Amino acid sequence: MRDTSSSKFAAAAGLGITLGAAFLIMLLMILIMSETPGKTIYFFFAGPWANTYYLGNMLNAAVPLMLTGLGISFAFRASMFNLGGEGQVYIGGLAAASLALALPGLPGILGIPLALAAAVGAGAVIAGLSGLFKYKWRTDELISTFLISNALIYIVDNIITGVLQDPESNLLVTRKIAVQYWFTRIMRPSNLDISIFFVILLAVIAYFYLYKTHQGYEMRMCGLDPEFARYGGVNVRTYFLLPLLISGGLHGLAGAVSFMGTQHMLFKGFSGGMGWNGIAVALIARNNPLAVIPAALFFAYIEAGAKSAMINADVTIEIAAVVQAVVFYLITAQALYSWIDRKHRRRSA
Amino acid sequence: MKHSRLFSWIIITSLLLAGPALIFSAGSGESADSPKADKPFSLAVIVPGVTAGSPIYEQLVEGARKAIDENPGTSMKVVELGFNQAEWAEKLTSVVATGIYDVVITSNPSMPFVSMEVAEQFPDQKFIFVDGYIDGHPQMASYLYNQVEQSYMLGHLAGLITTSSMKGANPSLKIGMIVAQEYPALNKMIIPGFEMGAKAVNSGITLDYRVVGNWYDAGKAGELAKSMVDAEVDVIGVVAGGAAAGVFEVAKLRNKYVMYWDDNAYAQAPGVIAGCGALKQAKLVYEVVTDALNGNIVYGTARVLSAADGYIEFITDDPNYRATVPESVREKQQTVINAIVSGELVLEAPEL
Repeated sequence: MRDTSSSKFAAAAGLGITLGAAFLIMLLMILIMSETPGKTIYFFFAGPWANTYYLGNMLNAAVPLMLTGLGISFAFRASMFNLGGEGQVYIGGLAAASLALALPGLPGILGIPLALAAAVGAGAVIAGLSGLFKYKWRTDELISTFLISNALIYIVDNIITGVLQDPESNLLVTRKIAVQYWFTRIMRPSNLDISIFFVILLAVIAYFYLYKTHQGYEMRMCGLDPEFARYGGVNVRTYFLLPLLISGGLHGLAGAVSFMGTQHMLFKGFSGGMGWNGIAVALIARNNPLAVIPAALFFAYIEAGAKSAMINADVTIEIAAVVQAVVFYLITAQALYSWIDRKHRRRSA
Repeated sequence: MKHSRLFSWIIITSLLLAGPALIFSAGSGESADSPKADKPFSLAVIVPGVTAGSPIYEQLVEGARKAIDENPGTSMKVVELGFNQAEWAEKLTSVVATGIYDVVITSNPSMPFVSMEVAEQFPDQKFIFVDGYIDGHPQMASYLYNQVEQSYMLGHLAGLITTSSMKGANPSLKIGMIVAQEYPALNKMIIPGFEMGAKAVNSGITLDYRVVGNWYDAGKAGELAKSMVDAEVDVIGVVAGGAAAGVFEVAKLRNKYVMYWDDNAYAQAPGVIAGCGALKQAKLVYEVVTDALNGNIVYGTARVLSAADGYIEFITDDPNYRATVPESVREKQQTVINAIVSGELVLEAPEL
């Protein structure tokens, strides 16, 4: 019992040290790079709260991250690695955009659910392929999710800048989807829309599914020890497929939500790291669906703070990428250590 | 597990709450950037991409800096929007939402479209677009280069080379064009102008045209160039940003020639780049910002700038040009340049 408590404390302390180290590195970079470090630090921390525009946009940026973070949490809980989030976000956006552009006359009440369903379906199918390969041939999903995703990005790029490209636009973008597909904004003039409520609700549902249902229990058990789960009568192979289907579906949904709420047209490269950041979000949240919410807000806050500092002071936006990368590496290292430690304990037992 | 989760929540929530706490603690001391009624002129220079490595954006910053430096008490801020076009509108809105800047100046044909919703949200904000076109919007003034003229001059030289006996030129009357992406200014001015210029030399010349799909993939641009050269193209026009490097490499290996838009790039591939057009963007931006400072900009208007106005040129005084292109070809090319600059040869810019 004492051993478990101390390991929990060590994990929590590790997270605290990681986040603290990331902020220290950020402060150090500002002190080196900025000629007005006081002003830069002020805008980095305070900027996202300056007015409803900045605050709303920060919350809006967190929404797709919550979805990708949830998606990764599902996969990781079942000890399945989904490194294809970026491509799944991208294909989800493409599926929703294609449907909305193909059926511009559909009423919103029908069109929006259909577009979202298309996005979920597309993401789920793509991630599910890796699950299926593992189910059938024991293909390592870590490699297959990554490879499929990478190939997919080029295909989607080609479709956006090819058949779907808006010929009247100077940007690499599709035509705008019809107004009835747009999500209602709730904090003008920011881009925040009503999807934030649904995504938070989804996180709560995900939590109940994982922790309060029989299937969720089996999924977690397979993640903790597949051999033990198999011995207990669980069909382990089912959980090669199901977590990836859910994970891919949530990533696809993130793609649809981000463009239907904000730009209303699909830009080439719009996913911009949502898939990769989802991994960091899930790791910070320790794969807990409820903790994904503040973890995504934390990531969005770093981005918003850096944007604010860039606009109001004299640093570049890359400072956000550096802080996020530091968080990502340190959290990954911490997670890797826990994983090795768990393996070691299992072997010793 | 519950303790560790609780601890995580406390850390993250504390960090998020640090923002408002700092606002209150910093209070009025740091509010120097809040808009004031009698504040001096402040300019936001928006770079849709990054400045380094892009001559057109470097000139944008250079011209604005010169005008600001000549007017003590005025200030400017350069904001780079980065390469993710999906984020441009939000970043631009963030700049405008500060309320600090009297005028936003930017350069790219896409920026009037990107700025439209921002202008609607902030009706007091003024925008100036160079290398962009928007007419009749009360908050916006635009300056469009007549790219038909620049492209015609480059196309004419391409036509002269492909019909010449220069090393690497073949009897086949084929020229090529590799572009990063399709956009209205390209489709309506650059390609038609290039083709028109070449056909003025010989109406039998045909244009092989390919799209890279982005502004950075030199490998793919090189592959397209190889394929064109295999199809007997001997002169390639390139409008592809960083991807152009791939075309230069292939052209150098295969003894072919390249035409380059908007800047003097002869030194990047001597003996390969046979013709360069250039835009006098720094000059234009300097003049426009000076006008904005003096309140002389007429918003709601669009101006089309030509070679006769001195904002577009074909670079002939570079030693690499003289070394690559024989005198007989240069003489014929000069005749066309003179005709365009003098207004004898009129090439209208179409409506975008």
